[in-house]
Amino acid sequence: MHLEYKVQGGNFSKAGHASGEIKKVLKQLNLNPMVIKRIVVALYEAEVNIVAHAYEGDIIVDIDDSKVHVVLNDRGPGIPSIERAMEKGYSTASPLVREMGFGAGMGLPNIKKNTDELNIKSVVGEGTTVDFINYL
Amino acid sequence: MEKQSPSSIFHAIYVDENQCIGCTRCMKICSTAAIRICNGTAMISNSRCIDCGECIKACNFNAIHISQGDLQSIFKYKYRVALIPAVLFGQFKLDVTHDDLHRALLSIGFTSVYEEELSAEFQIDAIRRFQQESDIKPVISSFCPAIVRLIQVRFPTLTENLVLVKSLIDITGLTILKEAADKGIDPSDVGIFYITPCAAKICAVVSPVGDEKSPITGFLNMDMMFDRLSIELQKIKGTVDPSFKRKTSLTRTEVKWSLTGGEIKHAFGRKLSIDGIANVIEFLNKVDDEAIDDIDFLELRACDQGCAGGILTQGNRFLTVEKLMMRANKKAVNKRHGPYYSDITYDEIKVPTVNPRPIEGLDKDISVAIKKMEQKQEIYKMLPQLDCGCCGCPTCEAFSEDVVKSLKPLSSCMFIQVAFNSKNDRGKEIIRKIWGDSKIVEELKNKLENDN
Repeated sequence: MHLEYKVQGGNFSKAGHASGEIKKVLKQLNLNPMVIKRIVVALYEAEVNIVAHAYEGDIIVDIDDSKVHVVLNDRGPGIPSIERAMEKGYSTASPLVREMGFGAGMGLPNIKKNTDELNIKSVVGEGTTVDFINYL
Repeated sequence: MEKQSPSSIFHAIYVDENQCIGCTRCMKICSTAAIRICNGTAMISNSRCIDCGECIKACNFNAIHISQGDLQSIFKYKYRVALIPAVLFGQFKLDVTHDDLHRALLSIGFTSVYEEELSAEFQIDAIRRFQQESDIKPVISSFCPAIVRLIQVRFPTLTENLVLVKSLIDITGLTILKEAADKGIDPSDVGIFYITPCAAKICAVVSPVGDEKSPITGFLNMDMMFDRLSIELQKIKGTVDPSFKRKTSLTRTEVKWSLTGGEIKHAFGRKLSIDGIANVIEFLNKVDDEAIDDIDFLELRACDQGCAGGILTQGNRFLTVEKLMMRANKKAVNKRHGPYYSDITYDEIKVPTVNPRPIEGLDKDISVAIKKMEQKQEIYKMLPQLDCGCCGCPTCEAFSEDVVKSLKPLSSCMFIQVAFNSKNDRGKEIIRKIWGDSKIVEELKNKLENDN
């Protein structure tokens, strides 16, 4: 099963909307609630990352009977050092974004914690792809 | 209709098929999508209903009822205890005193009166211990039984956030039995009857969550008791009874406990109180996504204004709150520290666990469920997405789900019907006039035929 959603950068009032929709779908598939929870938490973090840092992005979800595969592509500034971004508390979020309660530097570590396989590719000045898999 | 799941789930709400005309109001308001219209009347799903009572508030035809307790049944017991929630006081005028209310209950036939909130201190203790002993955030109050059931059904992973403690009704019930035992009274001679402000608390009494049995014997509905007490209060008005001495009285904390904000003062850290089931769901959705992770305690109540808004209360909820606040702020309020009866241990009031019971998905087999999900989304695209309710489902989304579960034929949708019926040009014309071209998807007929 294949799902696609668009995410708009900077639109904080809509942040989490796609995650919510995907959560609804997952709940109906009779998956283990703890599995759903991990996916949704990772997805929400990654969606907010696009909203907070990028201009625009999309979320592609593929589900089969063994795994949920999520790919988030964005067009944005990219991450200069993925290694540093994976450190807890490291954030490049602007003061404005932090004021809104985002950008605590827990995004990528939290995604890592809640996924089985995580792959991040980024080109500075072009964008970032976050690709993760959770097994059912 | 959805398959009825374990009959062990007790519900206090039922539809009167003679009164119900299938108007869809209850179906549309239901927060767990538990209602469908079938053969002209509303049907409530056993596994989804959480007894919040919103459907009753929405019904214009007095067609949804709540199980009734029988006042005569108290006379089977030698010791007849009325267990009353503080909101009962808020139903009467301010000149009705605490003494008056106790006297009225005794003259109806009870032999003693206790207030539900007398053991609120035990709950404070349980909440604080739970907060200290776990690193769960947010800890969620288990005071409102409709909220506990909502979490079991719609937010199964949050069941572990609930404070694992018996209900206030049960702890006070335990108090009553212990006090009776101290006096050498045989517990089988004691009948404890809870005067309930809502349907969910009936369920809490009849089948407590996470616990096998409640010490409460039965329940009496507050609306019925309000009428009965009003008569009795008239009789005793202006009279004095020199032999009467009231045994119990409430502290300020206890009077306010069941109102919105009654609990949070006593919890640690950052805390919020939220009332009204739609507000609660909105917030729990965020908690469920872990979009909110820095709140320590949540006090959640299904009814607006907490128990003052209970479906069986007679008074206006805002006035009830105002009257209870007046009572709480009186100088004469009890200054007792600790619970009314303290000889109860934490182990006696703990409950082992609250089991999640999530709404069943599309299929037990994941690959089948995925296929059905794809079908469901295809079907949903064809539907008018007006959520008109004419098919007997609350939303077009719920309808598409019922269709893939083979609970409803696609032709139950009026718009699909008109699109399929090649002879009904007049019907199509009317629909086009109101809704434009987009709601009649004639191509879908061909598409469906090709698919099959």
